Amino acid sequence: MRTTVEATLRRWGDKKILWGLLLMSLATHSFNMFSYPLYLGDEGIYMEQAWAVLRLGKLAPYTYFYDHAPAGWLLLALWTLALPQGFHTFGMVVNSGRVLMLLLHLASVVLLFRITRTLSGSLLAATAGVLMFSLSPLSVYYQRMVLLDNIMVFWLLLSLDLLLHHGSRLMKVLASAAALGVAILTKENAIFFLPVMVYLMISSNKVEHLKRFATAGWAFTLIMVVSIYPLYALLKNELLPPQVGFIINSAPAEHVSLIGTIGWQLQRSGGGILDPYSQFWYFFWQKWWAKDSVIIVAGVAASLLNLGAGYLLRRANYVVISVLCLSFALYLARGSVMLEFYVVPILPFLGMNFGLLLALLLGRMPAALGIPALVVGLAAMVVVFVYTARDDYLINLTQLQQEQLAWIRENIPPSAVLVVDDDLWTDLHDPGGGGQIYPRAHSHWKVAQDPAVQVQALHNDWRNVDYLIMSNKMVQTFNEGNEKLPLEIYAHSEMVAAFANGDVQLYIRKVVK
Amino acid sequence: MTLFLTAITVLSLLLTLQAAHTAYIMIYTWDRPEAYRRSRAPETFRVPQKSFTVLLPARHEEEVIQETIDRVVRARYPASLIEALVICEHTDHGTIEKVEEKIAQLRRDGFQNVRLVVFNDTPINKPHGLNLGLAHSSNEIVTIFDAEDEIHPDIFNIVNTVMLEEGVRVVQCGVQLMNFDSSWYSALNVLEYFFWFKSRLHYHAQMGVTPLGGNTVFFAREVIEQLGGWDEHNLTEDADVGIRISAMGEPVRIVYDDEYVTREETPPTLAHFVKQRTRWSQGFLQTLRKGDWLRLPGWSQRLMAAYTLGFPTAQAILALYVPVSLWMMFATKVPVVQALLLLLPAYLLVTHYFMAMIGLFEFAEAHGLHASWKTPLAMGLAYLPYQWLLAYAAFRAFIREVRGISNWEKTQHVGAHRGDHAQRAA
Repeated sequence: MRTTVEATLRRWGDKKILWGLLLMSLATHSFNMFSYPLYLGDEGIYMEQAWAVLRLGKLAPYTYFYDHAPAGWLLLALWTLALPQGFHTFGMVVNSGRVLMLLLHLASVVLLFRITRTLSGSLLAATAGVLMFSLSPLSVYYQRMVLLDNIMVFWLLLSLDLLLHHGSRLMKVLASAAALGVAILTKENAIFFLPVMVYLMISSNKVEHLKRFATAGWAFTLIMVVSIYPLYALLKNELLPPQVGFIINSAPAEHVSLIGTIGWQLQRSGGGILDPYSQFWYFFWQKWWAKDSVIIVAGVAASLLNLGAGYLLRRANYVVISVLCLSFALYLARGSVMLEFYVVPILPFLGMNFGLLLALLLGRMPAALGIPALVVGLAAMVVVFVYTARDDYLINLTQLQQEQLAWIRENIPPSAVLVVDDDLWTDLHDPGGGGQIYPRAHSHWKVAQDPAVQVQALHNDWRNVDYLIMSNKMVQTFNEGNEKLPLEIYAHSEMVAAFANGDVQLYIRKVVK
Repeated sequence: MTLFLTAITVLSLLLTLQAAHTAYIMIYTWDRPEAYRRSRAPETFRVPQKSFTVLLPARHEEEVIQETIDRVVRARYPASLIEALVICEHTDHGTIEKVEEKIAQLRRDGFQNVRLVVFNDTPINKPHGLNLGLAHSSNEIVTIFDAEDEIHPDIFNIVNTVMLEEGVRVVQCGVQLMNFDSSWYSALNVLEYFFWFKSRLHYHAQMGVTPLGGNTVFFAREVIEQLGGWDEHNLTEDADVGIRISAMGEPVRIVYDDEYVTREETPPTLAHFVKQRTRWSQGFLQTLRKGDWLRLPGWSQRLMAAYTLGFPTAQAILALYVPVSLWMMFATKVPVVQALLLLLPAYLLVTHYFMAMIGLFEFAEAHGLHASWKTPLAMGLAYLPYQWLLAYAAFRAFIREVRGISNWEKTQHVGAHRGDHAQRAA
């Protein structure tokens, strides 16, 4: 009998292959990870909310308005608590979050490998899938960042893994539900995977004596875990919007609410796939396509082909693999407000589909022909990936933010009122790092929107601000959001320092009174 | 106030741990495939070899005793390997008359293996009767059935096979209340048995700390003789024997196969139910005070024993805590995190109820019964009152124990489980 590609891989052993993939992922994700990409404002927001949990015992340093469920930064807080120097263990505050992302990514690599192997029945699919998931420039770029989506992907994959490998252990089935619950409480968009998860849960619990407890218990556990969030809002009397809430509560008062925020999120629109000027297409071309067209083309095409293959070959698992990818693609394309990193949750499943398609095409090929082709092909892919993403490995952008911070500490007194982007917020507030701190540094978002900052702290007057710490992108943000007070501050200020590298420019502006 | 809040937060965390552990052992058999396999009865039976002594203590059981005797002697096992002893107290003329009538009738049918043992000394209770029966009997394996028990005709075949194949000397087979729809509390009572025998006892057996049940339990004669028989001053002599056997390091084999369970009924009235529960809780407390559990080999086993025997009391606190936590949720201003902690036990209580609901459908399916969608709803309404009832019984037991009252409050049997729904082809 001739040996196939699949059989040769099996002879090499899955442990060895997985170790190889782990080492490769460790290299791509850790090398230069503190220097590139630039600390994103969102990374700063999650770090400052983790900081608020530890230092203030609150979910956010400002009024928490249920923009996201808090499981993600609760984990960040827990992680920081375990670090010897807390937020400053790795230098700049965001770095400590990035180390957690690295660990979660390595865990995700193991999980994706196991899941893909089980669903596809192929070691080749698992290998190629993980390779694409982990090495795509799109992945390396976004997976380094402290993003809720990265944390959510870990919990989602954990949930999938437990479901597929429960071995008739009821506790593992329930743990899968709990992990999915945590995924949803980390980033709500995990809910778009729910239909596939429910299908997998039912199809993986066919053992007669376990069926009833497993299926009902899974649903129950999921609901129980997720319900903690509305319960929290209820206890804070912030579940319902004020205009509804006053029916139940005697004192109507202006306040944030979970239901209100959900309603607001649902009606935000960024334009769908049919609108060529939508946010979807903007990010698609400007950010994703520019970084890596390979994973997009190969992954999406593979998802469609796998759907067909699953139908023709009567393989439900192939359909599952395809739908895992397509259901989230549908969510992205449906046209709500979009941020560039919303692509993160689909990356593992683009990889998985690519892997499966490759396995379907090459798995049965004779090893003599297939192995060299595969090795050359995948090696070429890795080379192209690494070359395309060379910025990730070579450029130091966060140096600018360090210089910006150093300048502030040298030239601005701690009593000054600063309006800042969130990337440096925690560095400016937490005393643990040994540097000077600025208790009156405010996030520009809150200056624009939160009455507690805008009205109570600044009295809606630009004269009460001393410095504006910003990047060149922030003016655009001010304009897009029609942020009145920040725009006034900007107009009444002059540049006192600038830090630049290519098209990235950071400024410090002093308000002229 | 701060001290009070801290205390109640600690209490709620402890209750949460306790309730989570309870939830786990309720589903232990479903979580462990190997436990599930072990719980099944053997598929083929070995040739009958062991001889059985059946002890049938009966007091004011004239309504049901004849049928029970009938079921024992007509079980699918050679009559020569079974002896049945009905044990009565000498003033219980009604039962004695019925037993004598039955024995005479069986003699006519050719069965010589049933005897009546009458005693006129004290204490008048079940363990005394059992010790007497033990002294008057001679077969290899000693077992107990209660007068209202509906046993499966193959029960001796199962125990014979398990004992021969596994070399175990103590076997506890399943006991199951059947009449889940006869009163507001019966479904919850039925499900307690279901989870206790189907899951929880397996966990106990695996740990080596098994409070045995009062019937359908089989001992090799030398084991029970070595123990010196049953404790005549203990209200739950069954659990007490289980703890002493565990302390000897004797393994206990649990068999709960839905098909072969011994069927019983829930107590007919609320008063009987409370009395029965009081007796159990107090018996557990007595066993706890006796301290035989201190001779268990490992600290985790001793902890488990103390925990199990004190369990009714702990459960009572949980039931009483829930209204407190709900009240605190709305009436007091505490930090949100603390409020969430205070609510955790309520979450676990909902979990228990939910598991009971699934258990109901498992139970109904296993026994070919039909539970309508209304039953879980009724169970939901009855759930907290039922817990409070248990709490009341537990406190009653506690008070009785403290005041040194320990008379036996007997449970009455009317044969509700032998209704149409529990017909069984013999």
